[in-house]
Amino acid sequence: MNPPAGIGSWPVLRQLTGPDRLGRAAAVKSRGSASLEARTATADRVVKSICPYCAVGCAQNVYVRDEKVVHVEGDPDSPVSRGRLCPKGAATLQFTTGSGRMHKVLYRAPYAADWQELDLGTAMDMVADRIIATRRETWEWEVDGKRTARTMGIASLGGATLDNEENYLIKKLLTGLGVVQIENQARVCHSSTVVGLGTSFGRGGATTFMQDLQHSDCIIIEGSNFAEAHPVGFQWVMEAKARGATVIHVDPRFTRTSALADLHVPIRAGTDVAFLGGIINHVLANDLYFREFVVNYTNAATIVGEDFRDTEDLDGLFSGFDPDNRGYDTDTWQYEGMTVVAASGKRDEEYDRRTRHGSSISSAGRGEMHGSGGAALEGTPRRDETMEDPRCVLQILKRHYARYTPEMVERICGIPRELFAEVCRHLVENSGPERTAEFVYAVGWTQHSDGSQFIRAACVLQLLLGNMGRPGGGIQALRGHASIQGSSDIPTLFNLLPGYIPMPHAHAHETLGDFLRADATHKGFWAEMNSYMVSLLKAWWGPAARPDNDFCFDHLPRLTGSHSTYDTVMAQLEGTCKGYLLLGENPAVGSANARMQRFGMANLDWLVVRDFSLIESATWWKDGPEIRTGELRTADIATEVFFLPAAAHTEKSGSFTNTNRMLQWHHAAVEPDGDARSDLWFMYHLGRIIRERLAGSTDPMDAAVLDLTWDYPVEGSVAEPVAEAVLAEINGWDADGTPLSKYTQLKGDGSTACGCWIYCGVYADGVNQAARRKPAGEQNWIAAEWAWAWPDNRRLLYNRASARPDGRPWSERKKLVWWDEEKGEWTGYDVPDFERTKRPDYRPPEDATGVEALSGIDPFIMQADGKGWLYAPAGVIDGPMPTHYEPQDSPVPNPLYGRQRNPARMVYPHEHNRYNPSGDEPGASVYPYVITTYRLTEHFTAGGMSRNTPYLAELQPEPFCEVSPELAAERGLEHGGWATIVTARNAVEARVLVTQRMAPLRADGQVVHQIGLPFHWGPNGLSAGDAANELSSIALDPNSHIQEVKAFSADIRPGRRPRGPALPALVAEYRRRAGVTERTGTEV
Amino acid sequence: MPSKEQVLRLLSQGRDYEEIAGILGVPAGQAYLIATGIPADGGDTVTRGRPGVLPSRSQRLVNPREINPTGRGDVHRWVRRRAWGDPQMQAAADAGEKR
Amino acid sequence: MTFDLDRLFTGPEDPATAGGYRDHPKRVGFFTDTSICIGCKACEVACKEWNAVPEDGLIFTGMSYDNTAGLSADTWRHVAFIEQPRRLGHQEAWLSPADVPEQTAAAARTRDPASLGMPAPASPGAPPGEARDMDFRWLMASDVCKHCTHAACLDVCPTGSLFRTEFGTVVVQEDICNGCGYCVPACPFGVIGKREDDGRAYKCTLCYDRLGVGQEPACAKSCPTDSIQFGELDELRDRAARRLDQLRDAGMASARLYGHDPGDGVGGSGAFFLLLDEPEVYGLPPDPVVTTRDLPSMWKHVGLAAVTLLAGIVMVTLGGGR
Repeated sequence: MNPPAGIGSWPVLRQLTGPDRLGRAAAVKSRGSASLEARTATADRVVKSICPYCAVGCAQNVYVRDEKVVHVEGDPDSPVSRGRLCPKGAATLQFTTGSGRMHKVLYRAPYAADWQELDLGTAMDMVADRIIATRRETWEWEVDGKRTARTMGIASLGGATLDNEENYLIKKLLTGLGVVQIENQARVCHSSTVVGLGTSFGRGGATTFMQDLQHSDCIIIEGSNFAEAHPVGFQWVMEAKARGATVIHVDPRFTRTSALADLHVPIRAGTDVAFLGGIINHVLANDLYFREFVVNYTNAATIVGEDFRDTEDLDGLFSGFDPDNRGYDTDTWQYEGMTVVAASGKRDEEYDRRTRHGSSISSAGRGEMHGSGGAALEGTPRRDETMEDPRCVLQILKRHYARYTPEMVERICGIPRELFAEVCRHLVENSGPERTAEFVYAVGWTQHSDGSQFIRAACVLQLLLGNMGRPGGGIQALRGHASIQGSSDIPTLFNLLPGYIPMPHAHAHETLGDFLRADATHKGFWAEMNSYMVSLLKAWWGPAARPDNDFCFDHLPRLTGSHSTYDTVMAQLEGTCKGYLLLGENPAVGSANARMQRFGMANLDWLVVRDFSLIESATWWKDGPEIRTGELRTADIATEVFFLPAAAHTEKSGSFTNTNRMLQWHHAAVEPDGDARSDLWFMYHLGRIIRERLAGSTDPMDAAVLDLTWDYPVEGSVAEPVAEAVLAEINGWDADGTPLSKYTQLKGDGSTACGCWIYCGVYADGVNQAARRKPAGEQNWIAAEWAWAWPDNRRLLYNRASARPDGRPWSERKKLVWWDEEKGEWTGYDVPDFERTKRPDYRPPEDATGVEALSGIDPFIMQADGKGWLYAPAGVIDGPMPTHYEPQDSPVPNPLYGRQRNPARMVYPHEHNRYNPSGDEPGASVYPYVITTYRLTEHFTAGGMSRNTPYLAELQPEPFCEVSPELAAERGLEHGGWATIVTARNAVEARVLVTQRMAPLRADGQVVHQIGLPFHWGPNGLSAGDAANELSSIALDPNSHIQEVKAFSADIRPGRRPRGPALPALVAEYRRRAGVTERTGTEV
Repeated sequence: MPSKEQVLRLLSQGRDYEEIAGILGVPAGQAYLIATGIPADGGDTVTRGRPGVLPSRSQRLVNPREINPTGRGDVHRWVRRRAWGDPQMQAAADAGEKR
Repeated sequence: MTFDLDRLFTGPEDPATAGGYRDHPKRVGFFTDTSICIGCKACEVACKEWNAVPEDGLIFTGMSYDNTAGLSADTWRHVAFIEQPRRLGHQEAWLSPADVPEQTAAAARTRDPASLGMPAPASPGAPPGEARDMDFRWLMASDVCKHCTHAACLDVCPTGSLFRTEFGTVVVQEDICNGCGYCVPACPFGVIGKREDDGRAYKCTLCYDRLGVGQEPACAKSCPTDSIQFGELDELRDRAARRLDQLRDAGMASARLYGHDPGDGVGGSGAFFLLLDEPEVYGLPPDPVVTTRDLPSMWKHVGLAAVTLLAGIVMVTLGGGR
């Protein structure tokens, strides 16, 4: 009832004359209330978008009025999020339209004390000039007589929250310029996932999708704080719980996930391999594995060569270890009578000798090429179907894990036997034909010096229990940035080309044919690698790529080892890397050893930072920690710094690939303000300007960048490239200009172009499949018509394994995909991850190659032998089976072996990167506690997208550490007070939260106290503080080059940390007491 | 504002929510909420099977026009120009067809 | 229309009907099932974004993960975090008392929170009737204005700024509020407050403007686990009753509903809760009463006293002069 006009509208009169005598309702409704309008309904338009924070990929509705974004909220049509948003997604309006963002270009001249404003056009010209000059100065044609054709003087970092199209242009342009040091957050976050899942199953991404969690009977969340870091995805765990599933959370801390779990299992950080190994032992020793699944779908029956020796035989080493090389020769790990196809074909022998057994190749993270396509093998393996042969994989596995008893698990992990038995019981009872169990993990597993092995252990377990490829089963890798899956697929990583094709290495006279022969398998889908490679070269170099020049294969710069972001930091410190582009990444907070990151940048000639606000990586020269300690002086720092403000996701169009390999398009709702531009705009125009400058050059150095296809259409008032055109190039086309639909259409003769073969199909029929938004309410739970997932829009990978060898489902309850004899094809709820018409009883002839060599019972079609790998003869360079090693810095000696740490891990001795003494080494007691770093729901990674947003900053305003009451008592820490935490690298301060959610554990006879430390903070922004990564070191997993930030040792003491020079003095004093030298912690 | 009975009565006459909105002088989404007890922008968690519920897309009753293009003619033309402008690609395709 | 003085502020009628709306929708509200809350605070942010509620202080409180502290003019959704104790020697870490250094044990003993005199809570999933004494719980709950059936803030508002809407909710009309502040002490829950700079009173509106176009409140839409459920109040009460039965059957003896009962001191709330412990544990009053409940009786007594006094004076005056 709206108030009448005129005097009749007076509330008093309405009260006296109407039914609302007390004047509390109808009589007093005001004009304001009557004319209320929700701004969602009065907007001019609503634009479909996707949240830019974590990798759940919640759909967003962006409401625009008068060309301004007036509101952002969830899109209820999404099958993933159902309209919900976590606090970060819910803060999108303030984040994108609030005052926390910059809109002007800033420039810092060499040695200058402060910023000055600069106009965008001038800045672009200057950056282009810097790139051209540095490139020329540092150009290198060859190393040791082998062609490299590159510049090691320029590097880029970022970005996992950039669009796929942006990452594509970054990789394309910079590669064309000869830059190989191209990296992003995927390196430091989930690179181990690519290796671990890729070598086990053939593809290095989550094997299932979040909505499928509802079908699980038992969910084990480990190495992940699911409710905290992926809150909206967690709704699917709640759905499973509502249906009676058991939820188990294994974590050093009792977190927001634990609060909703049925069982919380506190574990010593870094000991998950021992825990999972214990479960594997329990399953094997008690014959609880799913036999029919295991013998048919895994390599359990395969016979391994007789020269293989296990860690049980060699006290913590596998056979083939070369201590000089700090790595393994994997020949003895092979299947009997088979070899791994060498990474470089027939040139390998010579190369091996010159480069000490190809260490440069292994060190370059070959394992990651298994992001799509398992390791290549030559030959046919021998099998024992009874699985009794002592050299068959199953028996080797049994022997390897025989000492991972419940008692040993208790000793290593601090988990009581009874609790461990309960976990085993839940897991085993919920696996088998009628029930499935699922593992969910994140960086609690990946970020270790043997992180790839943590994941491998879960792969082994899930294969033994028969949970792979089945609804409610599988392994859910929870990646953490909006498009970090995309920035691995496309990728902005040094060692990969789009679609996980490896970057070529420097070899004498290596042709494209040599390269392909080396890296292609003869069996399986990876046999088609030449089609994928040639199509990529055609996409990048177009008409210039012809058979007579190997399709411009030589335009690709070559690798000579590891060029990861951490190697780049070393190169910056050495002075060889002079220019750096930070594209939406903040290494001064988010990368290990933040101090070293800054020292590296202080040695640069120039630095370009593109971000929303002045992040720590842009301002370290002015007021960073080393300026405050006096170790660096602003007036002495020559680095030229450009800050270019970035456009938000609401201001640009593009696709994000979420943690379930699903590409979702977001449309630009408005144009960016001021000088803010998208990274698509930046890369495109940078490339345009550079090519204009170099036009007409006959210098062979410039051929690659001038030959690039670089003619994308632009639109709008700022000349924004049309992102859909870039998507179309990623998708590929044939000679008619028809967009391709499936990667099986790709050819190796140059008649097709395709920028990323695993994304082929995303633009099928000229329709942006990633923009499809068929509501969840109109589809089944798979929702295949919402957006598009690779490969081929399959949502649950390896789903052939959801059926028996004869093609019938394992059970009615768990049916997903099955063989329809009448129609002669596979059918079901998901796209079959198998050749549609291949019969289950098909067995290949002896000489079959390519896909014909895969039988009807080979569900892991990207593996050379079609099987899930319990034992990995190739692809993982620090061991064919996971084995427990202590973290790089650990106060506990390894109870299992004489060898303390992963012998193959990569260490970087440097005065800024000293390691703590560990185990029973002298001085270990100086750093007696274990630190584990993690996320909070309210913030996002290195804080650039949350600490400057008031609604998020006020929820968690200061950095804090979490300690148990017992530790607080031991060290005199006061709740709400301050504490200083010290490692051999640096010291930080944090507020103290004393909580019983942290519990001391007993490991191998000693009490271990763990300290929790969120890693979001840095000195800039509304919510500021010390960065946790000041404390961490650079010690890397050799497969993935990922750092160990989930478990390291430290000391903690009450009070704030010292300021000024007293800070490094404190750190030095600790080192002295602990006897830290350049050799500490570096032994193999 | 109308009552639930009022809206349900109009629905039972076979009208849709836009019509009902016009008749009652209220926004269409409001009529939906009042009739069903479910918001027009809710995700599908509440049991369906109640009178007046739309199986999907009820948020259209609230939102202004939706922008979600899924294919652009100018991009299709650009793709064709790229492909046709590559002589080697054309030659390879011709050779492939002949085989 | 009946006019019962005694039940002026406490009658059982549907509040919108009592408010004189001839036609109105069914009453709507919130059912917040705290047993599935993950403490993410999406509700806090979504509310602030929709209603342009200002950020109100970057303060590390040390109260578990709760840096918001409570409801006010500048916080309309507040997530509380309650860590419920474990006793040393019986925690999940399975340290026996002999393992812990005496100094640590002594300190931890003094730190042990006083027992609430309650039976130890059973963990979710524990067999019925079995409460393990080693359990640890972290309760999380999103608090909000209760939109009481008998709303004291509404009753005391002198300007008619606070009013009952057609949906049965209680809303401050900012175009009317004069900042007198009477509503602030009237609320038995301490929900409503005044903004210092602005001067007016503010609180949750149950997103009245969103309801007007058929959208659900921003907090309910955003909640990742659907802990905050929006809908017709009677339907929510049914759902809550079933959920309570489910939890009790699973052994969660301490689960209870709060604010669901039309017979309680505020006549039942438009926003009611499923709690896993006593309301005081969550910072909620155990037996809230609409502060104007006794007003009619008070005025009656005042009236009676006045009449008596008057009668006395008259008697003295008329009967005097002897």
